[in-house]
Amino acid sequence: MTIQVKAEAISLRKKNKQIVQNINFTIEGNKIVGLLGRNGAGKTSLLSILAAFRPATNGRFLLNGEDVFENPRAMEQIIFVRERNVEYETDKVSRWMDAAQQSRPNFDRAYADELAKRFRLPQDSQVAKLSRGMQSALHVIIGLASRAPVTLFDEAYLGMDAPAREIFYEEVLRDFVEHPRLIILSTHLISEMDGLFEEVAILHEGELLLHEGKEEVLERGYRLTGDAEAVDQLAENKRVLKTESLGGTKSVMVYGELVEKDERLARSHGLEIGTLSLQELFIHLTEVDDHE
Amino acid sequence: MRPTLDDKRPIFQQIREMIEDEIVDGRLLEESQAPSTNQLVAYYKINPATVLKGLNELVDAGILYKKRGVGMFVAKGAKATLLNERKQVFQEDYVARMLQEANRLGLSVEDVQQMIDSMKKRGDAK
Amino acid sequence: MTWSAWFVGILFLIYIVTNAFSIAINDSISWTFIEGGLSSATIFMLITGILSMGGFLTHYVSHGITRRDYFYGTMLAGFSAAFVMTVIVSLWNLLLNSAISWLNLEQNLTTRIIDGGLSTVDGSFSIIKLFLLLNLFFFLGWFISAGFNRHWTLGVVLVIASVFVVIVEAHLMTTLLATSVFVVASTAVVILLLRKMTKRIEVKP
Repeated sequence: MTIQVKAEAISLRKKNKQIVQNINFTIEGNKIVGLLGRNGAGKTSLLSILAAFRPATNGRFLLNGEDVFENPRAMEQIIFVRERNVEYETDKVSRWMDAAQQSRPNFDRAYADELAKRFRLPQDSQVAKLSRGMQSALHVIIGLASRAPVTLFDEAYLGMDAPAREIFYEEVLRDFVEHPRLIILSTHLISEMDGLFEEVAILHEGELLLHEGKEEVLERGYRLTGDAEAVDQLAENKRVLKTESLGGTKSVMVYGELVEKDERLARSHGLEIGTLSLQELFIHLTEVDDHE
Repeated sequence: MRPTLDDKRPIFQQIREMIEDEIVDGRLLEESQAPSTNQLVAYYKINPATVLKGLNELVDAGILYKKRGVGMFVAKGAKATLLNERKQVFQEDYVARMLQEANRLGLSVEDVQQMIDSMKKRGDAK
Repeated sequence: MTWSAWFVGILFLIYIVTNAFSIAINDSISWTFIEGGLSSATIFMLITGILSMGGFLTHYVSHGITRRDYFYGTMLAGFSAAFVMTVIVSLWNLLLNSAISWLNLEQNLTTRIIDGGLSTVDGSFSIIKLFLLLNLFFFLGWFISAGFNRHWTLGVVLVIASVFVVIVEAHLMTTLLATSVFVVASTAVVILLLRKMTKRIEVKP
């Protein structure tokens, strides 16, 4: 059976503040999904509801058709990896691994040990005494080695330096290929992680802006570069996100699908047609617009 | 393999072109096994679905074929097909654009021909 | 549970030091192990109860275990801890009593042991009372921290309520039967409210 996660009209209010509002989407099958949103967009709240850490004010998350909240069959399949306060944890790293091993049926201790070596995480040191980067590494290791059918990483890389993040991305892909599962990565480091995603969901101010395959999202815009006059001609009556010019050369970011007629026209004018990056599209889509 | 991907074109397209380059340059022979999805995922650190999209386009174009449980292989005649395609692209993209620019500079087709001949001579002399 | 070992050890040390001191200054401090043990054990259970909320709940839910299972698991753990503490305190009491009589120290200490309360009445009854009290304190501790988990004002209200329950128990319940009924009833009420409070509780990520 293919795994299915479904958000049904999820809303969350906290102290009269709307945190997320009427979120609906379905993710089907094992894949890596990027959950993008600026700080405070509601990413952590949404993932908390999916992980059954809190009930929604309205609506519900279904895992394979069953409400996840207080449902042992669903909860044992979901792991929520996030930054935690470990100030008072006197346990050793290895003890934490033992605990995960006891409660997660698919936990692979050999893989966890291998990851600990790769991240240079000392297993005999106290959790509270780990540096911030090492704490992130510990959470990530437990998240990966647990091999839960639904694995949620909520900005799990926070505190990791660039080389450690690189290891994290590599391991997510490597382990996903060997043990396919549904992985959701929330992030605002988009340019670094966009290669990982098959699907993308963008949250903005508590609402779901879009949820699509990454390639489809990338087709929502394009870049035209070349002779300024020709570029202006083609960009006329189109939604231009950004313009850069240097001498007689102009480059514009256009939002909207590139239709064949325009493509031919652009080529005949010798214009270069390029793709936009996910980051560029994201920045545009989540811009707080004062004019409208 | 090309060491890095750029962000000018879709990634799956770059994967496709990379394999095509390997075939055209003769580094990937007909009936030999193409790089696996997992290899490409690990090498470029991109999602397997993206890699598969590129590879599947090659399968649809008849450049690669699948052997169940083994992987993907380069089809017979793939190199000739690709060379043909590229010649067309060469004409459309390079030659057409060259003539367009020549026209802008007031050069006739004969002038361009002369330029090509002299470039060729210089190349031979080296 | 490493800190429980420390707790009993320190308690024992304090007892020895205090007693040695009181003997030295000729019986001016009235303190026995069973008495000190009782109040210390109740405080131990109270703290254990308080600690059963935040960290434990997060730990359980993080590992994919429901609030329901957390609730019943912690309840069982509370009963077991109360049982173990009852056995430990009773054994100490027994051991000390025999040691005292064996060493022929009655002259100095009998008054205090007798005044200690629990050893004066029938031993088995006082053990039951001890067990029930330890349970009450565990669940009160859990109750209070569950209150604070929701909102600090609720926490304060529950602290006041708990103090009230303990005062009523100590001063108004004169017979063993009355005490037992009162303690069991209040523990049951606290347990019911706890389940209500933790049923849909939020775990902070």
